Amino acid sequence: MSPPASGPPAAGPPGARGAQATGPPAARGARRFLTELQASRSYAAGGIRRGGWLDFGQFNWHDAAPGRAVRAALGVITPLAIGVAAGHTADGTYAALGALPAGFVSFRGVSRTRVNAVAAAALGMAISTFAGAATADSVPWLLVPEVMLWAYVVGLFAALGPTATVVALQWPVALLIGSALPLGPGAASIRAGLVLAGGLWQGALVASTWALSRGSAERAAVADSYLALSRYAAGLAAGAQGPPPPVALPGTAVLRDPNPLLRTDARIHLLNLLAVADRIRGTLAAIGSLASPAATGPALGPAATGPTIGPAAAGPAFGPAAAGPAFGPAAGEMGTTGPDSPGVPDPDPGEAPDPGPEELLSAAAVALREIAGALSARRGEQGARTADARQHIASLRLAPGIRWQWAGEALLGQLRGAIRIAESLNDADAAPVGAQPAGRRPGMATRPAAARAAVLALRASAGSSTETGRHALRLAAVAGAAEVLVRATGLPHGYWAVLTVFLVLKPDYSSTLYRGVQRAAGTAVGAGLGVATALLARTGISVMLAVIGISLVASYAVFTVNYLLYAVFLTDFVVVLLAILGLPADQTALDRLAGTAVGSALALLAYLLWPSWESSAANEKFAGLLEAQGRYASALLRAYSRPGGTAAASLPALQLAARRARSDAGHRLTGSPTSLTGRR
Amino acid sequence: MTGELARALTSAGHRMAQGALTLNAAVAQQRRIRQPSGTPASSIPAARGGTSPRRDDPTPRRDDPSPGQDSPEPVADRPVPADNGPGQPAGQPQAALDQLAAGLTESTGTLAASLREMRPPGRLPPLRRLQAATMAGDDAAADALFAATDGLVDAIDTAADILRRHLDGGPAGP
Repeated sequence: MSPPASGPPAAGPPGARGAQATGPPAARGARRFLTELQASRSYAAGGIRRGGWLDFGQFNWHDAAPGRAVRAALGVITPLAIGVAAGHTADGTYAALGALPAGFVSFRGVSRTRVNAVAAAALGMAISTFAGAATADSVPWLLVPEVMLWAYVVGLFAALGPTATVVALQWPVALLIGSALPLGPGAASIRAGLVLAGGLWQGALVASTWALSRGSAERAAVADSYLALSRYAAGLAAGAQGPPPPVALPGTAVLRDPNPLLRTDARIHLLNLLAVADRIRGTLAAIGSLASPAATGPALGPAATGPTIGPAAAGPAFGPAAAGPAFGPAAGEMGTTGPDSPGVPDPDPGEAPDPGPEELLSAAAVALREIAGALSARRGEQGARTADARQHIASLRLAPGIRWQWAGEALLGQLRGAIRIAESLNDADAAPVGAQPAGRRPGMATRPAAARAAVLALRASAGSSTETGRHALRLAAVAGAAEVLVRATGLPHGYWAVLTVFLVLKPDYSSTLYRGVQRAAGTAVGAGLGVATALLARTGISVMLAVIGISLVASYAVFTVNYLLYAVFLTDFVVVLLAILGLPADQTALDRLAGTAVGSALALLAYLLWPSWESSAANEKFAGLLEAQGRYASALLRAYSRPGGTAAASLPALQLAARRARSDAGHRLTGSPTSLTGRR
Repeated sequence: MTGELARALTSAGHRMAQGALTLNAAVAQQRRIRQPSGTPASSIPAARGGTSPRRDDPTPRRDDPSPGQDSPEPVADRPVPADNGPGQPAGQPQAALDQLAAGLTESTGTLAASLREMRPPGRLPPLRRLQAATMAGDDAAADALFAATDGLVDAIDTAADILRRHLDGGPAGP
């Protein structure tokens, strides 16, 4: 989606900031509200004028996950099929409705975190199902505050990251679905138990994959890290400049939460490989920096004359022509040599030009690729790949006295270290199984510490002074209004309208617009598809089960490809599932369309009425982040230097401010790409 | 603002937060071991005056400003406290920490102003030199302080480098 060409002023009309700084707090708040409202409306109007709102997004086919889709669909279809076979279709459906959202949650996290997320979602869904069914049966209007409460919780959980948000989102969804069929406390408990069982079944399926792929995901992630380094080295060899991309290596997240069944020795080798990869990245950046024309200075450029050191004078410094290994036992095997190593002369302005590091970098790129290959190759081929990597660097020899000699030596040492660790890893994997799986992983936060951090983040985000807090308040208000509207009008399947508000209303304008339009369009197509599917599948229940299985696999598979496509197949699944329960498909499709339209319209309307964070530019948020972190760090230093002084008293407030700033800046990355567009 | 710049700044902010977290742990540890009378414990380098500096000449870093590039701004002009050598009063390390704290505030303020104006940042205080002046002692507390301030200084220097590269029209990396 393209951003509007002309947005509003960064913070409202000129002088607004100054005006906000004076007067009583209530007046300041009102002025700020009006300024934000004006800016938000202006931004929205700009977007609508441009026509960018009719955007169905990109189709990221490379993100399709057919394997995971089949696993998640199996988790939904199994309880449904068991229920149908046992003559308890409704019970099977309830369990399937617990497994369905849990399947989407199972796409988040890595190993334990994934199962934990599914379990948390399932538990919350069970509680919500009970609350929804029992409340609808006893005091239906009490659902309004319940919905508002859950909406606030979901909105606030945005401060804990996308996984926590996805987990929490399933709770109000279960509350709303539960409220559609009022039940007494006893029956509601059984239903909640079925939902819990369905969700946990998904978790069990996820855990079962640990045994199927013990260590392969970790190996692949570390191999990806080495491939990324290989590409970077090849780019430097080809003349590219600059540091590597400022993102963590692909293996970092995977090894932070590895397969619990991964053997301890293998895990340690993989962690070591990742640590060496991180050092290689720094060394490559150093070589790129030291060998760049800017680093050598004009006197050392190609046009410089005088005696040369390296290839021109003494033959190739690297490659097969060089005589023997360049480094003996004294050289730093893991690259401990530094710029102050003995034997490295100080650069002299009149010195001859340094030979370029292209040959070394090219060889390093090949060696890194071979190491990656050794990690992802079959067991019988691993040794050959590490031998190839070793061969590529064995005969390299650095010309003495070059500016980047220390970095080159470090790189070669690190490459040798990585090859040796890869060989140890392959040996460990080939050894008989018997080692104990690892316990708690180093680097993982303990549960109390993680819980404390989560509570602190939620506390920092509560209220109306943060984007997360404002989003939570807005979501609660809009969801509550939708629930009131549904209760008052008696809209058939009205919970779909409220549910759409939860799914569409996001902290940022662009994501809300994108979700709203895509969900509405996808539902329209999917409703038609659902009616057609239900008509075609009238031949029998087994055919219908097979058909919705296909819809489900498609829905899960394209979940990360395109939201519109996902909405198409999910709607198809819902219409056919309700047809199995005896509801007419055409009426269900119409109700779904109406509910989605009402919910999407309410969510989008909320953005026209409620000030949003888009009214302040992204650069302002990042500026605030740097300032807040700087103030907090400074106060900590002062508290450290004067124990018992006054600086310590300000620490809690500054800590909260720093967390708020991080949360606000983080929204720029979790929202749509257009949310990063600032105003220059 | 490009997504790449936003991600790079988020990463730098994350590292600053990690440094602050380490520093927070050091402050908490200091509170625990403080003597009841209110006088600082002897293991706290900031309040101790008899230990030789351990890292008075840190290895130069790529992102360290060269001496000629030091900021002419107030913090840079202040004399960096002398080494916390034997016999020196305890006030010297405190002053060094205060100067580093002021340098951090000034640096992040400069970077924030740079972001608001979308222009490359001006010169920053010599944070690495200020950090080196705070080093005293060779125990766990000194190590924690070193690790925390090292991370903070490195993150700020990195953020400055990122802003210079992105806002000056220079290369943005491969």
